[in-house]
Amino acid sequence: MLPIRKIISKQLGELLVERNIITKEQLEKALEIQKGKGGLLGEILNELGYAKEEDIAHALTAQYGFPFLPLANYEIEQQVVLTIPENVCSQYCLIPIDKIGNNLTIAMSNPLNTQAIEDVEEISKCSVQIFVATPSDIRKAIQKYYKNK
Amino acid sequence: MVNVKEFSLLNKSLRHKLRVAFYLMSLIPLITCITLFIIYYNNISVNAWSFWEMFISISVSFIIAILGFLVAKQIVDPIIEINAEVKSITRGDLNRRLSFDREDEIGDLSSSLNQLVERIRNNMDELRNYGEKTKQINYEINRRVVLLSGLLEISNLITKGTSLREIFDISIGKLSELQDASWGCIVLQNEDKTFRIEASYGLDEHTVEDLKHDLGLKVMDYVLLNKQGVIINKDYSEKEVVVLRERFGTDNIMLCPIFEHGRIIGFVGVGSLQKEATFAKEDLEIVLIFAKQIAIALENEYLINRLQKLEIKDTLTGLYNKNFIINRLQEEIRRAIIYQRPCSFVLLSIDKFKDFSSTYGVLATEAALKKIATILESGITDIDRVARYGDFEFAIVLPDKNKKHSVNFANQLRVKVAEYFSQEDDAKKRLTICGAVSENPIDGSNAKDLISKAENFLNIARQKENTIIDKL
Repeated sequence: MLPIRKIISKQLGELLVERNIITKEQLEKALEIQKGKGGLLGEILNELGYAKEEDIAHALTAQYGFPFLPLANYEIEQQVVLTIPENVCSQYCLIPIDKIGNNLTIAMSNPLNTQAIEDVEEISKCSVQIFVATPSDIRKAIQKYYKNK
Repeated sequence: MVNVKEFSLLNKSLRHKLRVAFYLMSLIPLITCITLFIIYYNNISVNAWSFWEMFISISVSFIIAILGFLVAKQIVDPIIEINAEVKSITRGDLNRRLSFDREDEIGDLSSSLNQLVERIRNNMDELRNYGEKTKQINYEINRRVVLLSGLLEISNLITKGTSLREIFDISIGKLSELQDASWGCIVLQNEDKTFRIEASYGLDEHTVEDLKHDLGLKVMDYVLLNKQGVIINKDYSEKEVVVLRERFGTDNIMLCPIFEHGRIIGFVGVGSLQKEATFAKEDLEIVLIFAKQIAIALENEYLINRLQKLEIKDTLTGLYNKNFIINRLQEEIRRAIIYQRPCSFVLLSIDKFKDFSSTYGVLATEAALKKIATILESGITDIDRVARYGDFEFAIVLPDKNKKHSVNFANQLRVKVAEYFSQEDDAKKRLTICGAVSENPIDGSNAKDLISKAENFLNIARQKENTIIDKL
């Protein structure tokens, strides 16, 4: 188990404000919109142009020590992709990128989603290492690798 | 020429015959006796009267007296005979005729009696005809009463919430009791303009199949023109009618529309193979009432269905019902996909509950179900939803809980139930539950997939008892 999960307490919004990526007002507006039409905070901030996907990913890496992975330049073995079904990957916005023995490495947009990580562990029966990647990179990768299947 | 008949006594009246008989029997012998007495007393030329002469004259008198008796008998005999005949007529033998072909009073009397009997017989025949007619009217009234009581019966069934199928079957049964009815059908239109035969009798397979398609359309078109119902017989020469008569193979047809919210959605048809018979207006009225009853039953069914869709709670346990929980699961899965969260579905079943139910009866069964419902309800959080899923099955939707958490959660509930019932003295009353957990996204991305997975897992769990299964 990753010790990192135990220290996750802060919400993503607070984290971004703290790191001066967005202002408090911008966060409030984004939360307002989320209340109205739903959706993920990161995506809303991105749509509003308050924070880029990369900014959010970097904030997560800096705060929690997850390594960042520019997925666009990364080749994944087909064998590895098959460890997690597509619907699980697209729902949680993650993709397996490497597997060595009983260690599975995944890239995900929100490493704070512990339940998603538990599900990946449940499915793969491996212990999971996490890289952070931007949501659009992950979606592109899912498109690319699961289409090839 | 001398008419012999004029000398015959046969044609003379009774009075005349009576007089002759009287003369013959009394006056002539009397005169003979007196003459003989005078002759004998005065001894007038006694020699001239020998014994033989006396004997002859007495004999002649005697014969004359016998003739008189015969004449009298001729008067009395027919009367006795008439008496016997009349007696037999009064006993009810009205076909008997008096055959006294005579020209005297007896002849008159017998012909008068014959006329009287004839008249009585005519009257009797007329009475019998009336009786026959009354019987027929009574029969007709009786049949109407039976039909109307049939309508009442259908009303009762509708209010009792009997199934539509049964109501259709009973309606067609009652329609078949209409006089001269040889076939009948209750037909409703589908969304796609085809028809479904809800009930029919007396129609061959070919016609029934036709009714589902173009024949149904033809009838429907004609019914749309005759919204008050219509009686067709061989006097109708409209083109449409002739086609219908040919297709059904019957001259006499009654058609009534079935309305729903002012719209015609089908029809009731009744036909007669009897060439001569034609349906009466009263028959049509009865069929119209049947059509209305069917419309009421359909409306009722529609409202009950709607109500059931609107109902979200199980009446016994107060938990949500199956419909609700399935819809809720679908909603929660949609939410989970948007927010990149998991969502779980738990099915729970009471172990060996059929045995429990048959051993301890309805009250104990209901009490146990209620108790388990309470335990489940008190164990879940505000965002979770628990429902009665089957006779002794429960379902829980756990938003934002992945499989691992949900299995833990289900196990907690399982232990709580087992603990509660473990205090029972009777080992058979120590109820336990088994369960199954499926999760979105692992087991699927829609309610249908999660439910079918959970049901599969539950089948395994049922065999193991007091356990939670989350994979095959």
